[in-house]
Order: sequence, then C-alpha cells, then structure tokens
Amino acid sequence: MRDPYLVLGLSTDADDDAVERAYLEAIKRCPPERDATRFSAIRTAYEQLRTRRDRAAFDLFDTTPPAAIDILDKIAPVGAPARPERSLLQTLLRGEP
Amino acid sequence: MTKKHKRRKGRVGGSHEIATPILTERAQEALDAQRWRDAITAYKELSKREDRADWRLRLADAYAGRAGELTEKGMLKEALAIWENRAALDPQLPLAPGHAALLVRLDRLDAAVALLAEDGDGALPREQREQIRAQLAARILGGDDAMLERLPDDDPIRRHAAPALTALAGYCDGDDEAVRAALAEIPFRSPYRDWAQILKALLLQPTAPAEAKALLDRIDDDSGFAPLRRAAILSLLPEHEFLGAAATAKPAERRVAAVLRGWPSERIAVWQALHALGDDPPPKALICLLHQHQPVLGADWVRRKSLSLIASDRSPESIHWLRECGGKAPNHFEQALLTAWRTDTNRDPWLLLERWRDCAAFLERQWHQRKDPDLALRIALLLRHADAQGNMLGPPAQPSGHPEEFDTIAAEYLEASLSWDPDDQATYLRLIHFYRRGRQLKNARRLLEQAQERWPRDMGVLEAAMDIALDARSFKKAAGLARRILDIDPINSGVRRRLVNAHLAHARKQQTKGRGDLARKELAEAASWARDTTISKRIALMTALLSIVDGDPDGVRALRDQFQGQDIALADRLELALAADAIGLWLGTVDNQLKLKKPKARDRDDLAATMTRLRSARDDDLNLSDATLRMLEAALTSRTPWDQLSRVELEAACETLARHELDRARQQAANAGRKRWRNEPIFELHRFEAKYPDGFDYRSMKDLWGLEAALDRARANGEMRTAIRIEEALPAFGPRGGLGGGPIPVPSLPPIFADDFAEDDDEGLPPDIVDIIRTIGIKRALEIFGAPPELIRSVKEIERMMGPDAATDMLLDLLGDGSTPNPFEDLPFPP
Repeated sequence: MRDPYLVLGLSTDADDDAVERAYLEAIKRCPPERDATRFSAIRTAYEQLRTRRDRAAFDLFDTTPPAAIDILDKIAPVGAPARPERSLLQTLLRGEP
Repeated sequence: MTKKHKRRKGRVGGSHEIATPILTERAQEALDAQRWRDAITAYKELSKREDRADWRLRLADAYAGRAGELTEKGMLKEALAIWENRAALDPQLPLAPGHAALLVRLDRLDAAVALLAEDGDGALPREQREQIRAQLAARILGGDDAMLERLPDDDPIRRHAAPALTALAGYCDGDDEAVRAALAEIPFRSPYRDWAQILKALLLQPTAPAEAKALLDRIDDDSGFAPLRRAAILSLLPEHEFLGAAATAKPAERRVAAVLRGWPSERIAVWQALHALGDDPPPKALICLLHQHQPVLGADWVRRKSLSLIASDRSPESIHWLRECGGKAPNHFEQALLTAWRTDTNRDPWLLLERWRDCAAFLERQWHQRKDPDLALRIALLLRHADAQGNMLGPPAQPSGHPEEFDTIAAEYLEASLSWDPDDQATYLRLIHFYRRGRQLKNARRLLEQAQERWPRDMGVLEAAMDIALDARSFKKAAGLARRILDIDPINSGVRRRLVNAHLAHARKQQTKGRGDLARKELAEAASWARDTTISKRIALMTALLSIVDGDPDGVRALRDQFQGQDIALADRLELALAADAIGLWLGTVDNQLKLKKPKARDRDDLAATMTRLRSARDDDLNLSDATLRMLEAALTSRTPWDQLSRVELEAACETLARHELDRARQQAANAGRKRWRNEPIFELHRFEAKYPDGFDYRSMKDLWGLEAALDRARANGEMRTAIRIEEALPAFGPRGGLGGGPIPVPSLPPIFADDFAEDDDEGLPPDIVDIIRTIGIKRALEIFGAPPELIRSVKEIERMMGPDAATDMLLDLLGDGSTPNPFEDLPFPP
C-alpha cells in the first residue's frame, strides 16, 4: 500500500478541498482506461484522505512501512521526461557498463 | 592437480575413459543444457578421437556460448580468448557477431575495421558484414569517429556518419526538427538504421509510448545499438516495474533510462542506496536511511514512517532503533501507540480496549493544556478504534446488559467519543443498531434524537428511526417515517418491504388476539404499501381468509368457490397455506371450512411452480407452520412427477426441500434424480442427507459407501463444490473420516459398488437368527457359532466406536443384503 499523500501529491496539511482537487486532477491525468492499477491506487488514496476524520485516522492507525517508491517520491518526485546528456548516451553507445 | 581442475574433470566424468557413443550423447546433452564448459571438454575429446565436421561445428557453438557467458560476466579478455579458440577451429568458419562486437568493445577496432577493409571481394556473409558495420557505427556515435578515416570512402559507415552524428547532436540539444531532418538522410540499408529507429522511438516516447515500444521491438538483441534499445525499453516500464527491472540492468542503461523517465539525480542516488539494502531491506536499515535523508524527507514524515517500521518488527530491541539511527527515542504517547498497534492483530477485546484507551488517555491529558480541535478528533478516533478493530458492536453483537462486559465498555467508549467528535454519523448509527439488536430501545432513542438533531433529513438516520418505531410497534410513526424516506428515495424497496412485513406481523398478532377488525385494518395498510404483485395477492388472500375467522359465510363461500375443485394446483394450495400461516390461522381449519381435499402436484408445471414458490418463501424468510410443512410433505411424496423435471430443476428442488427440511420429499426427488442420472454425485448426496437428517446412524453401510463412491466421482469430474459438501456430509468416524486411524476393519466387506444400489429394502436374515443375535449380542453369538477371530475382533472394535446397538444393526444389515458372506451360513442352527 502506497502513502496516499504521495499518490495524490499532497502535503500532510492538505484540507478537504485540496484532497478533492488533487483527486480530480489525478484521475483526469490517469483515467481507468489508461492505467487501471494506477487509477485504483489513486482511488484508494482518495478514500483514505477524503475527510479530516479520514486523514486523522490514517495518521493514527496506518502502520504500513514506507515503500521504496514512497521514499523516492518524497525525496525527489519524478519530473518531466528529460534527454540524457551526450556524454551519457555515448557511454552507452560505446557499450560501457 | 588443482581442486578446480578436478571439479571440471568430474563434470564430464573423465571423458577420455568414456566410450565414444556415450560421450557423444553426453556432449550433446551438455550443449542442449547450455553447460558450455562440459560441452567444450566433451567435444574436444571427441574431436581428438576423430576429426568430424559436425563435432567441430558443435564445439564452435559451445565456444560461442561460453564466450557469451564470459562477456555477460564482464570477463572480456577471457571471452576473447574463447572466441579466438573458436576462430582457430576452422579458417572457413564465419566470424561470429559476438566476436566482432567484442573486438569493437575491447577497442580492437583495427581488427574489426580491417575485416571490413579486407573484405573487398565480399567474402564475408552479408548479414555478418552488416552486423560488424552496426557495431562500428555505434562506436563512431560513441565518440570513436577517428576510425572513419581508416574506412574506404564508399563504406556506408563513413557515408552515413554525418547525418547520424547530426541527429545525435540535435536530440541532445532538444532540436527535434534537426533530428528528423538528419534521420531522413539515413537510408534503410544503413549501419545506422537501428540508431534511426531508436531516435524515432525516443521522440515518440513522451506522447506515444506504445508506438515507441513497437519501434524498439524491431531492433535485434545483438545489434550494436542494443544497450541503448534496452535503456529505452526500461524507461517505458511503469514505475513499480521499473524499480524491479532497474536492479538487474547495467549501470549506464539504468542511468539513461532514469533520465528518460524524468528521474532527478537525487532520486537515482537514493534508489541506489535503497537497492544496496537488498530486495527486502531490514526495517532498522530503512530507518537509518530515512534519517540520513531527513532534511529532504521532513522530520515528521521520517518520524512517522520510522514508527511504522518499528511496529512491523516484533523484537524488543526495535524500540531503540530510532535512537540508534540518530533520532530521539519514542515518547510516552508514541510508545503507547506502538504497543496498541501491535495489539491490533490480537483477538482479545479487553487488550484492544485497554491499549487504545491508554493512547486516548495520553491525548486527553494534553487536551487539558491545549484545547485543540484536532486533538479532540484524535481522542474520539482512539476511543472508537478498539471496537472497529475487534468488531465488538457490529452485527450480530447485542448488548450483554452486564456493566463489566467488554461490549458495555466498548459502547461506553463509543458514546464518550461522541462528546469529542459529535459529527460522526456512523458512530451514532452503529450504537443505535447495537442497542436495537438488544431491544434497548431507550438507549437507541436517546442516540437517535441526537442524530436527528444533526441530520434531520438523512436517509440513514430516518431508516434507523423507522426501525426503532417498528421495533416499538409504533406502526403509525413508522409509516410516517417511511413516507419521508420514500419522498427522498422513491425506489427504496427495502424500506417498503420492512413496512409491509411489519404491518403483516401486526395483523397476525391482532388476529390471534381475536381482533379481526384490527387485523383487516393492518392488512389494508400493508396492501397500500405493497408494490410487489405476489405480496399484494397474498395480502388479498389473507384478507379473504379473515372471513373464516369472522365466521362470514359469504366470504367463506367465495373462498370455497375459488379453491374447491377436482384439480386445484398444489402451488395455489401452497399460496393459501402461506396466507393462512401469515395471519396465524391453522391450516386444518382452512381445509375443513373450505372442504379441501388432500392436495397433490397435478403435473410437471404445477410441481415446478410449487418449488419456485417454496424457494421464494425461504428467500423472503417466511416461517412455514408445521401444518403447512406436513401438507407439503404428504403432497410431494404422493405420486409426484419428479421424473418429469429437468436435471437443473430437480437439483434446485432438492436444495429447496432441504432448506425446508422436507426430507421424505427430498429423498424421493433425489431417488428420481439417481435413477435418471445414475452417476450424478449431487443426487447421491441429497438422498443420503435426506435419509439421515440427524446424521448417519449406520443403518446401512451401503449408503455410506455409495456416498464415498459419489465423492470419488465428484472429484474426478471436477465438481469441487459437491465434493466438499459430500466430505462434510460423511460421518466423522466413518471409513473415510477415520477417527483415530483408518477404516473400521470389517472382514469380507464388498468393494464399493455405487451403481448397484437399488432402493433401501433390506432382505432380512431369518428372524430366528436376528432374535438370537439381538438377545445375546452379536459378539457372543459369533463366539457360539465359532466365527473367525478376525471377525470377532472387528465387531468388538465396531462396538467400541459405535455402541452395541448400532454395531448389531450394521452387521445385520451387511449380512442381510447378501453381499457379505454370512458367517452363520454353514453353522449348525442351535436347538
């Protein structure tokens, strides 16, 4: 189970409106027909954070250890796809490991 | 001889001592299994014995495999030595692409270039030449463009190098137009073809990943551009798959893929740190890693996740991990929380209540110093959690009424939680229904009033109010609430059904009290709410039946006209009986007053309709009176056309009859099924269960064996549901169940003979013998008649397990059916 705040890209002080907005944006970006697994994760995250009571309950009772992807997302979220530098590409083209 | 050498030699088992045909076989096996070293040893030995072209070729294959293996491991020089061994086998052997690739990779470009330059007459196969060119082309793009000078002017590597390099520069600079223009200059049959495909895929990657993947899939694994292709494919994986796949990728491929995915360098660095901890990192190592990155991750997040990691470990040392990793030791509240989390999996309600109460108590003390609404909410949640975790007050729990029982304490905590967080509707409703189930309507009403003040038009609260009104027999109030609910939700069939049922129940109550007038009124109310045709018809019938109670001759005559006749359907008689039961009118009275004959199913359709009606009665939770059940049992066992039902209908009928415990009828139906579909295990099961409704009593072992045979057939047919049901129906200490061991050893018992079972008629032993056995006991009788000790021992065992009466019955049954040799047959009959 992933950290719902990270799935929705929210800070831990997000309020109901922020959760709602983040959820709507997330499902717009990732509708179920595009990636059902990701959509399901978004939906689950929304259910976990929907109300102030839900968020407090998550904070008190969730004991899921952090997943590697959570730690990575928290440290440096995935940005826009980039292009490797020429030197990096050339390393690969030379067959270097 | 070194150990290593000894081991190597051992694998082929001292090949010089092995006969050639056996060694040939082993060599081929090793080659097929990709045990390259063994294959090399074996084929070398074979080649020494005889110079055969096919063995040489296979040795070359083994060398190629081994060289590839070494290349994978990064042992490039060793791999090159193996390739050279391969090349030395036969000067005519074409250069392998892997060999060429390795030459390029080891910077022995001259050798590769020389191969191409010297191949002016085209001695190299075309495919091989193209592969070498692609390898060199990749190196040129990788920065080794000086070699271009050493190639002939007309070599395609040289001719197409300029647009390929321009495309590379354009891609890295983000100039897509320049890339496209340059790629347009690279022809299809160019050493840079794969490069062009990969660049096109990379341009498509952000917007059309599927198309990009399709382009990448066209490139061979042994292409000179394969590392870049692999990196591009890696970059297209979903994030969770990427994390796994990246672990096995080569570092340069991983770095390129990460950049293509948009991974910042910090992410790559932490991923590498996480990867170093292994697939399932120890919690403590993760806590330390989190603390190392605390400035970026945030102190609160690190703290909270560290506590989760501590909770995931049961060792007592885990409580010290925070401090050992550079954090502060858990405070009192955190310690209480850790203890409570670990209790969550415990089934002890007292422990749950106590641990979570401790956590709430900590926050309550803080509340006195800091009146924070968030704190109040947390206290409420902590007070509710034990109940939620242990489902202490959910259905079917009822109040014990004892002040020191855990359900009372849990309810108190829940009520207390409402003072901290009075806006949680779910808690009100949970408590209301808990109290309702225990008929503590005063408590339920108290909470309902609080809920109604907050949510006067809420459906859940209105339904709870209606349920309480129905519990209190306040039908008028319930009807008013039902109207309000149906105003909001007109298709709420559940509310409508509950209200109709409540009026019907009340009508029955009034009728049994002799208040027919009030019963009619209730029925009229029920009719006004009912929308279902079947219910409406039954209410009409119930109203008509009240004329019998009232002694209304006209009403009785009308009913008689409706039901008296030669050919009244059994389904209609069942409907009449259900209506009589619903108002508490004895069916005998109805039959007498209406002068009805004994019912029976008149044909197949009537039987099917009766079964359907009976099934829906069970689905509607209608209680059939004993008189109705007796009427049905008699009707359904009197020349009932079971054999005219289809297999599905008959199976459904058996299930329905089972639910109503109409065992005789079910046995008949099952027997009809067994006759028509002889090997269907489900009918064997129904017959067995119907014949032994109180459990198997060892009346007939044939039945037991028949059921066991049915179990075997069900398993063989893959009818697992039926097989499970049969297993459950088999007696615990029967031959299969084996209480305390295997089957009861009955000598000379026949094998299981499922298909030979006829009806249950026992052909008894001579009555005199039966009398003697019953009088003196079967064991003594066997001793007197000199029965074999083996049989006497078995009988004693059976008696010990089943009791003397059941054992006697069982043995008489066995002897009586003639399938077991009669031990008394040849014995002198006592005077």
